[in-house]
Amino acid sequence: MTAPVSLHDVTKKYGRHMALDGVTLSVYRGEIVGVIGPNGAGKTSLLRILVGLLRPTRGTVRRQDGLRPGDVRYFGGERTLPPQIPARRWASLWMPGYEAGPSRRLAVLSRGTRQRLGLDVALRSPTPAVLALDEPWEGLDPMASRWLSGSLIHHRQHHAAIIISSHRLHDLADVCTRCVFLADGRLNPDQLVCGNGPTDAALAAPLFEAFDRLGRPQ
Amino acid sequence: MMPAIPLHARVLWAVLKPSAAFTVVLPLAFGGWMYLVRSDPLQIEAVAGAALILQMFTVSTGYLDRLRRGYFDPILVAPSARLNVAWAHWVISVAPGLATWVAIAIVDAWLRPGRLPVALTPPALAAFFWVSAASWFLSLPTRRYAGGGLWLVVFIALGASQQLLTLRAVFRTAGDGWAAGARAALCAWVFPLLMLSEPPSIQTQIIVLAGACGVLIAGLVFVVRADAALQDSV
Repeated sequence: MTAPVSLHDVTKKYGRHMALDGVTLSVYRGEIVGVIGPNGAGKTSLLRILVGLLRPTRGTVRRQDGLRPGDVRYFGGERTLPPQIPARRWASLWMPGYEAGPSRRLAVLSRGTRQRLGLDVALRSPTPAVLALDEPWEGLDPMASRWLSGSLIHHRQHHAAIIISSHRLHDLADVCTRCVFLADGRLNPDQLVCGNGPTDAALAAPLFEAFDRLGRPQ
Repeated sequence: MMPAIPLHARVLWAVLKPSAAFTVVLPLAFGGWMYLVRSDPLQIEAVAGAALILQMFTVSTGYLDRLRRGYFDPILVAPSARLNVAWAHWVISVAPGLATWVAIAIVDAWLRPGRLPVALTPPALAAFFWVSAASWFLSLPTRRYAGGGLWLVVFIALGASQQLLTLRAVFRTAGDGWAAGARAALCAWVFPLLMLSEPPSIQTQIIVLAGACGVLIAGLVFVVRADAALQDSV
């Protein structure tokens, strides 16, 4: 099975700071990969390199041939939306006739409303080949969180390759088919394979334990 | 049928379009200029010079600042999108100033029929192209209006140190030939308004245009290769 996107021995440096160190990771169609790690572990850099927003210092990024505009989508959180643009206008750039959002400028909306709007754009139909989301549950109320989890499962079932970075381990446990752990820019070899579908709440406990182990000295 | 405007161009226009203050300043300035030219058609050169200074600011839309905030993320993830984005960024940055420039040419043609409008003379077009490329390029690593601001500081410094007169004298007396043309072009690159007031040699115009092309290519390469970590916008 070929992965629409994969990283091979990728290193990313910002000056002297090593954000990623020899990361190899593939994301396959029909799976949701959760990226778990403490703050500053390199999760955002990993996602941004995977979708082509950042160039690795070393290593290769492979993307499936024939991907068209719209086949690769990324949402880095509500703070990446331009504040001076009316919300509905921004969304209608991708979804003509979009009427669901408020007409006010993004800057004056609540954090949760901005997050929901950005996710509406990223999760629009048709299902993309690759979907990368950075902290997607941040700022969402319980109803919107449920909508997000349901949408992710829907796109997974329609063969999207999905990768999510989040600290919300319960939410990740609800949707992920696989989780990887990142600490100090390195992927931990102990990947927690979550099965072949949305997992149950029982998975959250091992995720929390694995997260705790990331923080301990080896 | 009109071809559909590509998504990346529509997103860039939404992010880069002139601020509300500028959309007020631009028509007001244009109205004032038209009043001036109507009273005295010979003032058209001064009006073109003012429009050139305004273009230094309008074309200076910035890039890296917004790239770091993630505003361009949705259009930069598209496979092999960067060169298209770079071109669209320049075209959209130039558009408001170009519209003003063309409007000035139309008014000039209307007020002084039978003459080539000042804004459409080869030296004026070369100056406009140079300003549109250089001020855009200067703003790319920074933020909106940085290119215009930097140029204004240079003008003030040159004026305060009397060097503006020296530049003008060098430009005026450069004469023909490529070496002299290069000297004059150097003056025009620093103070492009010279191209409107003094008729430059053909060599000077070619060198100014070549400089504009070089700077434009450097700007496109910058946008294609720009790589910046995300930073919080708050």
